[in-house]
Amino acid sequence: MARPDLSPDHRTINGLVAALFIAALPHFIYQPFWVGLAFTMMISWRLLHNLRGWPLPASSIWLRVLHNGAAALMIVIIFSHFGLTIGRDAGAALLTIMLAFKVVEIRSLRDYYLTCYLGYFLVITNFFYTQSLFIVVLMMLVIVLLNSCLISVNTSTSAQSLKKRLGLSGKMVLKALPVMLFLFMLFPRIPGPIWGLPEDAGGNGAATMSEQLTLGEIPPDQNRGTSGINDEIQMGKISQLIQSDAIAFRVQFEDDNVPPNKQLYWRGPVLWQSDGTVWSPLQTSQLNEQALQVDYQSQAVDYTITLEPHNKRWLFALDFPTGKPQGLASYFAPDGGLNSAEKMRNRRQYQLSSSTEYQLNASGDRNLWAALQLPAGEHPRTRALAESWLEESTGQSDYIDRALAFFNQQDFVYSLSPPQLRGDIVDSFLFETREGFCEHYAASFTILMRAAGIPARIVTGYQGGDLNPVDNVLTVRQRDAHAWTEVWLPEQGWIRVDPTAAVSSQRLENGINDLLPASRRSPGMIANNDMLVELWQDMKNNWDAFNTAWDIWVVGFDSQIQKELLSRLGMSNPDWRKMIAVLTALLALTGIIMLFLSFYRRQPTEPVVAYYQRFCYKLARLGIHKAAHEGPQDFARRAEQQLPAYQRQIQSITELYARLRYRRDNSALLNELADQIKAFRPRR
Amino acid sequence: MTEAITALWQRWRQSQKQRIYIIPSRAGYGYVALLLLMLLGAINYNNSLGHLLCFLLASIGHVTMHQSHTNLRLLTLKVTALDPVFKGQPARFRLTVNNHDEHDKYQIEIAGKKPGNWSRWQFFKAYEKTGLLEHVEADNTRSINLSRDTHQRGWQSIGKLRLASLYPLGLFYTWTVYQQNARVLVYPEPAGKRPLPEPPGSDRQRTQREHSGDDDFSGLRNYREGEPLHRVAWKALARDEVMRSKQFSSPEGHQLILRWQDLADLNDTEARLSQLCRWVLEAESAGHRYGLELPDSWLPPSQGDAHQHQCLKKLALYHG
Repeated sequence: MARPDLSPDHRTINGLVAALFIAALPHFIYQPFWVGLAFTMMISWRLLHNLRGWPLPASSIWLRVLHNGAAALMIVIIFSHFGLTIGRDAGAALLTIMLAFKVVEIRSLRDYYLTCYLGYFLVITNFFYTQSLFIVVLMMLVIVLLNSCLISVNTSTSAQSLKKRLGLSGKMVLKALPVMLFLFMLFPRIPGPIWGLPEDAGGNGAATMSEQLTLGEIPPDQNRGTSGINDEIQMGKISQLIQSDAIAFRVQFEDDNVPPNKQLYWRGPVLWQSDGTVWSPLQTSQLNEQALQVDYQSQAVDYTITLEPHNKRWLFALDFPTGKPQGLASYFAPDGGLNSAEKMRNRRQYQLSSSTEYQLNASGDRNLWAALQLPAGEHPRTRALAESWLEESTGQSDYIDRALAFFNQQDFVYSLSPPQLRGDIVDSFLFETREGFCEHYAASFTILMRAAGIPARIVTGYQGGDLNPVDNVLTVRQRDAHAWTEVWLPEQGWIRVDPTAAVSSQRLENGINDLLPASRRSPGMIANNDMLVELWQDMKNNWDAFNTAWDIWVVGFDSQIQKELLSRLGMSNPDWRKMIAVLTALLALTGIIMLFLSFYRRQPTEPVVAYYQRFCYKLARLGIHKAAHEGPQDFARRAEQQLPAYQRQIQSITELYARLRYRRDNSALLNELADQIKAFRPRR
Repeated sequence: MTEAITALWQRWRQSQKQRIYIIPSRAGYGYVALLLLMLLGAINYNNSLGHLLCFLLASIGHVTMHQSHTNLRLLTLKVTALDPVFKGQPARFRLTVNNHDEHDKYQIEIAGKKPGNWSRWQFFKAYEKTGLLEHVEADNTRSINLSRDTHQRGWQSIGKLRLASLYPLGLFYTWTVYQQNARVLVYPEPAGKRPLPEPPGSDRQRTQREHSGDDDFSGLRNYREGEPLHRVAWKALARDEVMRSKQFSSPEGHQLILRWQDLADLNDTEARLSQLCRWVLEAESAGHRYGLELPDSWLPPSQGDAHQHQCLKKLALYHG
């Protein structure tokens, strides 16, 4: 309590600087370059003081002005860069920089403690950016280092070397794991946020699908270079999405009952209107309200989806869900899209059940008007083609077949990197380039349908997914993004027609994976060796399964999963009172066990004794047991009588043992004893 | 198995003999504030690993509490008093700490209780630091010298000793108090400017005594405990291995009696004792035979370290 507030010595400060540097390292990537620069400069100043004796700000007024001025300047830069609201990015930048400035002016033990504590806080800010296993391991290292820093100011370096301090710190972390686990599982989780979240809270920098579909020239990227389903699904955009291996969601099917790949259409936003280039959805207010009439025609499959945050409301479901998901407030839009009540800012789980064969709104739909609208004056050649088919065809089904046959029989190519489209996008695709990705086929097919008076709309979402044989989790990645068409036919309702299938049946049979170049599936070096590729796949599957478990049970652990886990462990209707009660009991129990274990005493065994015990054990296996009262010589005599063949060995070992144990002879004999006992293999 | 548990139980019982107190330090309260802030952030951002980190740190705090407690348990103290001192000089004790635990102990601060009346709750104010043990290995002992300021003559007991530690992380302040009985005798402070009193007899005699002094060798007698070593007759010892001390002739009149009554004009007891103390030291160093006469007791004239100690002890323990 009343300890002198002396400045910690240079070595303990160097240790702290090392720990802080590792903690700040990931921020150099997330933050603008000047954050890392300022941090490095400031800690270098401190290190130069410690190692080379450079002056600190405290030593002269000019250096003080420089230090404080630079700090003020950095604050101004932070505010001008991030704006006045302190969000995640601005907060982390501020913490990183101010921590480095603080390091320069550590003068007392109190400063040292404060800096350490800020270091702990810097660790947690890393988790706001990524929660991967790697970063956790790195941050554990930081925790061990920071703890050993605190140890170093509470002990003397002569009594405890750096190695011992690090060892103690590591041991403390290990001892802390059980209680941490109890707290993690049983501390009642409060669903956040407590106060409003700044805009950058949910964005984990991953790709998401967008709300619009743009054909042709891709407009300048509005989404800071993140791929995925965004505010706008653009035609060009989906083929960008395919570049991303980021996970969109994971599916665990009940009883491992996974439908075939070609039925795995994960329904997302429905697109209705187009200006010729961009396709976009209709707001719920623009659509006529109606209850969905679904007639399910196949056995429903149950599954759980773990959706990665995408900062949008839509939820993905296997076409077509039999009801709203459990565990999440949501509603169906009139076009069949499933939407959450709030934006998906965190990884969420929901249970659904779907029937892959169904009729949707067969008896009529109040929004068919919107499914017939064509952009005025656009796509003249396409319309002309539609008219010529219409004259030849005998009915709507025939017309649809004609269109699909057109894609199938003409020289259309499914390409992951289609050429840029110019002028009238659909016309130039259908009559000139004929190379496209799913969104090109879906959009032009929809135009063809609408031109013939058949109500049609584009559905976006994902198709397929990778089933991991290790844990049977289907992982749907951004690269599985897909767009297809739904047409409405009387008596049959909305029917899914996937024009991409007419061009590339492979895409649907086997998923996108087979279409990707081999280099995307395994490292280039081993791509030519099938066995290595298989081994690689095997390892990758295991690693993926582990990551899935990590993401769902650790990273995704929230009040909902907590309740689920606790009821699985046998707690009925877990609520916070029960959790607190069990937690308290467990903590008390752990405390008592820890206390008693700390009194545990290892029996100090000298190596000589340990070797001799080994010798006795070898004899005991033959039924010759050493009695507690029996001395080594008596025991040897008895053993020799029973095992005359080994008389010399037994004598020699006993003599060596006696010399080492009772006469404290040359310890070089110890090795000889060890060798002899090792070579002693008595048999009857 | 049962043996092991019984042994654990025994050691636990052993550790219960000494009560160990533990409270969070200021840094510990700061740590709690940090954890609350972290928890708030983790809840607000629904960040699961944030929760995990927060719980890990909380759990490390819990482990630290155990370790802080462990750092002071199963210690026994032995204090030996060192030589008597004069008032104002620090009283010195030898403290031996015996660690009966299997864990090493680090950075134990030793504080002694300050004189005065302190309420039970003034744990911190009532003690002042007198020593630091940096490391006591498992099943081992360590000794350090402690010194305590002396403010009055008489027996100075080491009193209560507080062993305290912030180890390992400085989050918890742990302490335990040992009552110790070792005591050091504190002589009065030698002071006063009066010359040694006149020995009974004439001036001439005194002058003669000063001339001849104690250097007149008069014979040998058997050595008695407490006589100064410089009086030992080493040659005689070498001859027949009997330890004898040389005796010097001192006429009867050369004996001094240091009297309490001689200082009647000093009405302060302590000042009188200080003066007597000084006289004792002067008489001894001058080689006189001296006696001490106090109102309640007296010591016949003699000389030597043992006699000096007897005289000083009388002065130290005098109750007026």
